[in-house]
Amino acid sequence: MRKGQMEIIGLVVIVILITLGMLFLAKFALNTKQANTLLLRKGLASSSVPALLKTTVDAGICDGGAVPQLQDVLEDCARNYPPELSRSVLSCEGKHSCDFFRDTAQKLLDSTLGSWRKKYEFRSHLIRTPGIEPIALLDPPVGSEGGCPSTKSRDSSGAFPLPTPDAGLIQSVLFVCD
Amino acid sequence: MNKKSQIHLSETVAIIFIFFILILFAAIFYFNFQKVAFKEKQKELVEARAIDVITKSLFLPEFLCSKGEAEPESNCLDMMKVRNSAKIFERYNQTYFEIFSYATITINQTYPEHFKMIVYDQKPPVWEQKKPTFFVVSLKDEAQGKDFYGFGHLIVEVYS
Repeated sequence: MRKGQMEIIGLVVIVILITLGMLFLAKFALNTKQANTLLLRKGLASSSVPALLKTTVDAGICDGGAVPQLQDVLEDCARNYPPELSRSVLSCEGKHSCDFFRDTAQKLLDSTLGSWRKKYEFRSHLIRTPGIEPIALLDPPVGSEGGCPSTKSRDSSGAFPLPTPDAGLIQSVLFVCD
Repeated sequence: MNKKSQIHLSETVAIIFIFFILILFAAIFYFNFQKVAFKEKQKELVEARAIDVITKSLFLPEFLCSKGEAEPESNCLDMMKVRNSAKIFERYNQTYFEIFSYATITINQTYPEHFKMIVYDQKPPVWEQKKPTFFVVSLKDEAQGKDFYGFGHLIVEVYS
């Protein structure tokens, strides 16, 4: 074998070694998100929705001495949607139940997820009849700035159903991202 | 030794020198990488322990929202039980230390009223850093009315 050919083989070996090194580095650099962090984010998303909907509104806020849970407020919102066309049965802080639910949900999620620098997006849809396009009860959705678009790595609470006797099925979902 | 052989020898010495320099760089990179990997592993273990403590707290009968033989409510802490847990923790200190080890568990209600309650606090004699982990929970409080639920979170701090 000629000296020139030997040199080319040596060069190829070096290139292969450098490529392998780069691949090894990229493997570790891209795999930085820890499983624990993702597990916690998923847990946060799935625990926040039931906790939010179960929350009892402070006494003295709603008219007539009512102390509803936020799920009752959301149900009332679904029954009397859209807010521009009908008045809600529950009146808290003088607002329509849809507006009161939106403001309270935003406040509660900001005090938890927001304060931990997590971004979130909370959506609620009303399915009046199966097969018909669901109605967005919170439009735009309740969320932190920028929300959690599907293009980002996000975790979902999964659809949280809330059946109502007369309005239909309310389905809520919370997305949490970093 | 002729001149050609001398040049060849110095060429070989230079190549060996460069080879060892490359090996040295690789070794430095490897040790730095190992150092970072060790720190990451340590962080991961602390996080795993925090998750473990959170899970144990959420399912601890001393905190859990239960009603007779009915299925307990998930992600819910009964404030009537929590208020009394401090005395139990103090009395059976060793038992709870075996469950939670060195950790601080705080319950923080953000709605309707703001309040913070430290329910378990065991700090190690020496620690470098603490890692707080949060979890959203419902805080059932029948002292405030039937089916009253506050909104809050559990803060678990583990030490390393």
